[in-house]
Amino acid sequence: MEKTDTAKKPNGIGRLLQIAGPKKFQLFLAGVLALVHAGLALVPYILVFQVMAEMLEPAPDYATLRETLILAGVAGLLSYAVLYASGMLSHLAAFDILYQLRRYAAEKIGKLSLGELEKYNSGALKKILIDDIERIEHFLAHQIPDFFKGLTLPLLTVVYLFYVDWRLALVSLLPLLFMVIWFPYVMNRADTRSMLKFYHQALEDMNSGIVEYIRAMPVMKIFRQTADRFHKYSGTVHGYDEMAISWTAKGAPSFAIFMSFMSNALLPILIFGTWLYLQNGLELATFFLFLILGTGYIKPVFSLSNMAVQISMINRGVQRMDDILNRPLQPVPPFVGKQNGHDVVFAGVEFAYVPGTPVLEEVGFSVSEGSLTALVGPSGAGKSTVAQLIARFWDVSQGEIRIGGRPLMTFSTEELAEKVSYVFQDNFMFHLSLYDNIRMGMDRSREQIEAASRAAQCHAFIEQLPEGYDTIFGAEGVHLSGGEQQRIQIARAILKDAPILILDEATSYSDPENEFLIQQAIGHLIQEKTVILIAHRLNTVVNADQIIVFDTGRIVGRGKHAEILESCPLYAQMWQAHRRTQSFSIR
Amino acid sequence: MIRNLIFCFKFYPKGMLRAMLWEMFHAFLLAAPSGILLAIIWELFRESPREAFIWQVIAAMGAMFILQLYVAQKAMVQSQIGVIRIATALRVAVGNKLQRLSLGYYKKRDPGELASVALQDVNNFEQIFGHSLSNLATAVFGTVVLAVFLVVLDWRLGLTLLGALLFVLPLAQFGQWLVRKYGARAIGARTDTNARLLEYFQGMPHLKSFGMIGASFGTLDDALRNLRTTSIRTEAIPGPVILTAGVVLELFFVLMVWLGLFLLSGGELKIPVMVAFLILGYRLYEPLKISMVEYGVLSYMNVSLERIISLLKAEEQSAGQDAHPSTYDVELDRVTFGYAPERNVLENVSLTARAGEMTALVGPSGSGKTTITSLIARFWDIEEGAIRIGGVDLRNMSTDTVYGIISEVFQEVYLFDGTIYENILVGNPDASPERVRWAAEKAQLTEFTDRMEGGLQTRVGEGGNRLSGGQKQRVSIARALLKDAPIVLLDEATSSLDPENEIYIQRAIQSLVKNKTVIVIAHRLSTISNADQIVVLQDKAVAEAGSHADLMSREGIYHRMWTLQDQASAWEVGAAKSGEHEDSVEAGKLH
Repeated sequence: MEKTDTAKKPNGIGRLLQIAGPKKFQLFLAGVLALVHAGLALVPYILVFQVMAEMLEPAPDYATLRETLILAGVAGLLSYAVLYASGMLSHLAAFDILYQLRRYAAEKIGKLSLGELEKYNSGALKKILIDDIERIEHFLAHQIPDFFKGLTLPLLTVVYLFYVDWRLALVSLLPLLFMVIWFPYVMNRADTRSMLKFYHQALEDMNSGIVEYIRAMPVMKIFRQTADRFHKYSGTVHGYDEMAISWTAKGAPSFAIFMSFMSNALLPILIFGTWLYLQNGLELATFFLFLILGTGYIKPVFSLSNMAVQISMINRGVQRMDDILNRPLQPVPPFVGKQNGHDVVFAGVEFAYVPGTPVLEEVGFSVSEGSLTALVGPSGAGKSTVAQLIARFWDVSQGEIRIGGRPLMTFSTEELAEKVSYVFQDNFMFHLSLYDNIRMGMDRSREQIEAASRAAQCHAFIEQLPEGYDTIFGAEGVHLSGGEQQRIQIARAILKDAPILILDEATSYSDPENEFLIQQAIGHLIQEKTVILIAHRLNTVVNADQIIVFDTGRIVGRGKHAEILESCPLYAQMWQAHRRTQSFSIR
Repeated sequence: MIRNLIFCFKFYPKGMLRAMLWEMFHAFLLAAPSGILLAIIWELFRESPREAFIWQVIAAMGAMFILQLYVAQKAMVQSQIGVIRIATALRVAVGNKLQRLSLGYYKKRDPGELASVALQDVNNFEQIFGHSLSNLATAVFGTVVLAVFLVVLDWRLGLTLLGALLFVLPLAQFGQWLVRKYGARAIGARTDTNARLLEYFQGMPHLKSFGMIGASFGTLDDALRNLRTTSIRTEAIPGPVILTAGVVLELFFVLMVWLGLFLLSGGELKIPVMVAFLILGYRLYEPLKISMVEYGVLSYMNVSLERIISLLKAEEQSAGQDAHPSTYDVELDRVTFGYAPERNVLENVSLTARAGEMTALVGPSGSGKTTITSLIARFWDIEEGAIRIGGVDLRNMSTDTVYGIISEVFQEVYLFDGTIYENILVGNPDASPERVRWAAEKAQLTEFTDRMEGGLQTRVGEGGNRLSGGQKQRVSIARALLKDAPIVLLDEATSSLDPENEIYIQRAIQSLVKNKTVIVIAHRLSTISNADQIVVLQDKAVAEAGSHADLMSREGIYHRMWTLQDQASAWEVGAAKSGEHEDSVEAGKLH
């Protein structure tokens, strides 16, 4: 799978075959078995012909036909056994490939910078990983064997028919000619390409509309937004409805007419055969054989031609998947040299989420190892962005960030995860036990986890839960307050014990008791760490070693509290405001 | 399955009836040529076949074919449109239903799972049924027509062929049962994978910061593995049963030929009849084979349908007689409530929040403050005690009535991917642009939107992630302002803000709460010291209530919290770091 990342990706069927690559032998074998099935399935027809021929003899010998019949039965039985074997082989291969693909895509998504990831919403990503990849199963498990079968069964049939009577065989091929000429037109009518694109767009819009609606359910309830009234829901659902109906109205009639022609494919044989027979140019048994078998090739050929449509449907999904798989990863050039300590340096950093609208400009500062730096400033000034750049959620547009003299670029996600802890403004709890929610995949003992939990002031409330640390978050009746979730987050960071710590507005969600407990937890967390704190309450930072004041993406003040209170007007103003809010009341 | 399909058909009854009539007509036209074919064979076996008659019959066949062209496309378009319409109706019905369920329903289920019902299950229905309906209708009607015809032609051979059904139908039933059983597991695994994936994407920053990417996020990998296993089983286990049915059909055909030959040798059967059976016999089974394949897929679809229907039939919050209160006092009367049985969060809580006054709820985390506001908003229904608005029990009001008179500013702000304007409009979709602008101004939104290029039309990104926490909160206040409901619930609305933002928010809130029944959950005691009533919750019950002055003079819990808070605001991260901070958890305990 790794190879597909760097290799140039072919399109269409080539790409699908590339996906099938790891299991090519299994899939090929499935195809061969499908072929054997097709051959065996033909046997009963030939035997029926023999029965008929014998029957129409002046003095038929029925006894010899008994053996023929037994043979027909055995062939029928075998053909189904082989079909099952073929199906199992192809499905085993297919689901394994699907699993590998999904796993690989999930990993790839995890490696993208958040900036890249932000281009997708989670509903769309989910659709790609589940639905689009699922479609590939159809190609691998059904179309590959069907292709073998669809190609050989008609071929065998036609060869046999030509062997029996070449004139009728020629006539029986008329519908095929018709199919080859007309089918592309039918498909064109459905205007597959552009329609499919709109269709998928409509489907995607609907998916994200529905996901958002469900996520925001408390808001929807309070504001009486039913599915009908919430435009994002009803609008996208009806948009999809219209799309699907106009597609049907456009594509279905010609398709149905085409199908009617195919289901009446017997007509030419009937007319020509009758005529031949009446001219005494045809055995009755042969005529009947053609009536049974003469159109038998149509279905497989049809599914073959239908394959093209399905493949283009599958391909759109594959393209969306490849769109993610081909996203550039954050580069990690090798680092030669030595990292010295864990001081954090920003040198001439510029950054923009969207090119052209910089969020940070000329940001330069350094945070010495073991010190505490507070980032302050109005909302939107760029404090959080600075913190996220250190965690390499994004890469800088210009300039450089260094940790211990080593450029941040040279840290992989995993390496950086070891160096930097991040306590987020928003809590996120996983549908796992609280134990695993604290452990976060780290290799730590139960004792260590409980110790971290104690230090983060979590132990007490966790022990009170009926199943303690094994309580699954999100299970019925399990409710953790925002403050408790925040402390779980702090426990994670304590457990991780990374030398650099980023605290993003960690003091929200707190009633006085919680606030006190969180402060305790943070007190444990920040010992001997390089700490970068995004502060919203100025009183918590007056003792910081360094305060950096941001305004519209630039640094406008830097120093200790007392210094910048003098030198930075914005900080002085914020300090005033802070003093005022302390005495604010709602009325 | 039939019952489930009828349930769906009711969403578009006329259209589906029309579609089915067309399908029936179409099936008849498909089966008719077999009879005509037979007439020709018959004629050919005569000593001197009547040529003119044969050509007439063939001409009739041609005419029917032309009729069929028209009917076929009519039938197909009607069926497919019918299915699409039903799918749309189901999506809207599911959406409306989700909104009417209590949040308790959501607590029991993953949001991902619910999204899956609306998306995946309805899609399954639409894709599978839209595709199969025509085939299936043709197969069913066609088989019936042909079977009757063959039995009339020769009952012995006809019944032999039909005898296969005695084995095939139970096998198909069994196969279907297996598909349903294993299909349900596969769908369950899919749903689980969906939920894990959503969690993976939405928790990505957290996972990244712990290097838990891809397979190292174990639950996702487990879900993917499980999806693989269950998918394989869904194919592998019912497969042999369904294929055995195919074998049975082959064998019964052989049996029929055997019997035919026996009868022929005894002179009890005419050769043309035998020929007719040899030609048409396979055709009789053809639709059966098709429907068997479709049946498997249909059973899979049926699992989806069952999930949709069980959601649509889930119990809603009752509305009693849907009374409308005329005054807006909020009263909790001996309310006892827990999210799970035996685990009460509130016990015997009584309080009254008077119209036009501000009532503040304070207390340690887990004391039930948020639960109280959730109960007032009827996110859950209570079993013991009563909650009344203007004297009317909440359970006697429809949720629509309740939400008509309540605004809530949540502690977590949900914005959806759209413009700021659209997000405000949620508060009252019928509001004029001027009114939206007014709400935006009052909520101090214009302070930053005026500086944005797109103004109020700026897009906020998924979950509003292009706005800061404070900005999002102001959007949510603007919504509430636009709604202008007489009761306002404020849940920790002043958290996570920088001082600048905080001032804006405070202004916004001041315009929101004028002349309203206000219930506020405050985390900073100073902001609510002017409240008309402060209710202190502790250990699931009301510990104290009164004005700030009352409570301070009582020197109880509130007094202690106040003191503690003073201590907390004097806390400095720098001080804690250098170890000067007294590390005593005991001092933090409130009791």
